[in-house]
Amino acid sequence: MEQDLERWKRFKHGDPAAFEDMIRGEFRALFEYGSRFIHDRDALNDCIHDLFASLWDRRRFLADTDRIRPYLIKSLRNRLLKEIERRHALTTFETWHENANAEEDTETRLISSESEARRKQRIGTVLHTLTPRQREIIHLKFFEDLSHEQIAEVLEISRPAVANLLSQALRLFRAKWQTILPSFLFALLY
Amino acid sequence: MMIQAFADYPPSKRTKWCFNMKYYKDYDLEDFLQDDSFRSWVSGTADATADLWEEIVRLYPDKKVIMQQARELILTWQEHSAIVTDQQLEDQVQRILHTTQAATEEPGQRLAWRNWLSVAAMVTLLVALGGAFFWKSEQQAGKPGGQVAYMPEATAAMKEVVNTSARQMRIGLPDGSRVSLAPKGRISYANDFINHKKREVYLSGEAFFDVTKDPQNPFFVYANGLVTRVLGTSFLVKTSDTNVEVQVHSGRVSVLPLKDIEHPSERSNELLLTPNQQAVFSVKDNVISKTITNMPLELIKPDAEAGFVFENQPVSKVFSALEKVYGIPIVYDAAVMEQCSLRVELSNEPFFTKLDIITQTLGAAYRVSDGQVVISSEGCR
Repeated sequence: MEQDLERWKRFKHGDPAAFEDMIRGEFRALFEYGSRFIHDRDALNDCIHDLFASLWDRRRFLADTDRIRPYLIKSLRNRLLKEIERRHALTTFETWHENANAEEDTETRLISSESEARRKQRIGTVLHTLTPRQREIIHLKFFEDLSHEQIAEVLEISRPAVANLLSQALRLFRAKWQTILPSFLFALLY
Repeated sequence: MMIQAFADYPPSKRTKWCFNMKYYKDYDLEDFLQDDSFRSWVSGTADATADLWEEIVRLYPDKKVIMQQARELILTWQEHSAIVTDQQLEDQVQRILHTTQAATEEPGQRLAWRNWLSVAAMVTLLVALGGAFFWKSEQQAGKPGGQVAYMPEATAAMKEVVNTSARQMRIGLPDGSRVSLAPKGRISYANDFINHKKREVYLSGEAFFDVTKDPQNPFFVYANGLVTRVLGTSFLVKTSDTNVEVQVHSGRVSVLPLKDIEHPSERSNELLLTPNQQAVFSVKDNVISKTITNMPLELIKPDAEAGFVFENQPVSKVFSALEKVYGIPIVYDAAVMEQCSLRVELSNEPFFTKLDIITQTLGAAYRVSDGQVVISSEGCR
């Protein structure tokens, strides 16, 4: 946290190395997160580019933060939502699954193990039953390791709402998982 | 049952596991998902803990379902993850920096030749070539200066510049990059400078390059069998008849033996260098090894108030301060050196002198391996 604050301050003072470090350190996580919203890689690159460019322009006026990543994710989220509104061509979390499946057609051909392909398909079905918001919160919680507090800030909802949404998402995931694959797991574990 | 299960394992492992086991007994889905060690096991990146997780499945059958759920969720997420390659990352970073630097520059302001540090879009490169190599290449080529280390097969019109004067010669390349060529230095490049999305320069002798940043058209320097790819940075290349040395001052540079450039599968020989690291390329063996420059530079200033003054601080703090300032990884056994603390005042000594002082105080030793400093110590009482 302290490191973040120090890095952020150096960036605000116009230290180009600190800025470059920050881009290098955060780009992949932002891209990863953003790609759950939109699939157009160029558009996503543009959004991240604009985000950093605008940060640099406004650096003197920015408030201090000791948590750079949640701050950037939130800023990117706002940008992406605007971009999605503006461009109807872009997809949202809603269609993540469908698009992923289209990619999988070529992917699955490469998979030699049939059970592996089946496993993917099944999991895809389970995830599809989650709402876009539930998938987003799972991503932020378990794949970005954000705290409930940070998620609350990113999604602009209250902390209890985060806890609620998260437990709902996991409960739903478990329930679906159990009804769809009762016998399969024994095969995998032994 | 627990005792039976553990009987097969060495005692040290056993104690650790007993502690962990108790802990995992109450794990729920959320805990598994957030456990780094569990996640790396699932992704197949950590073999060391595999036994542990399999043991947990055996001991707590009721955790099996949860673990399987966590496993599948993690795998699914990873399958859907958007891969950003190093090259793509680099391109995007350069693109952002290009935009912000253009905005920072005052319109019409020309950049001072010496002021390169403030302009990340420039690259400094020095190539020094041993006289012996000169002699050899002239023999091979059969005409003076005709053959540099590597010439393109293409018959594209080449421009060659030779510095016959006794002073540095400044040359502007078509892309805006500038070269300061030392006496007897030679450089050649295609008249059509940007070719197949590459900017390529062949050289012998000694030269400084200030390279204009252009991520779409990377800049390559060919010297005596070694290819240096510029990723927006400053570095030094020295060649002799037997070796080529590349030292990185800031940013990143990648080097590759020339013979491998046509074989993408051989790209594993490509070495990425970070500041204060140095690659030594042996011309004879076609092998690159990575080490540290003789006189590493401070990449960032140490904290103003604290500096390198440590009052009874744990060594981990001292090492991480060094790592930060010089950008050189320091590897040590944290468990063995846990008890080691240090009272030491350092200031402007060179990096290796600092290391000498620290290791001598601790009764430890160090060596340099693969661009890292490896500390060996028997611990402190």
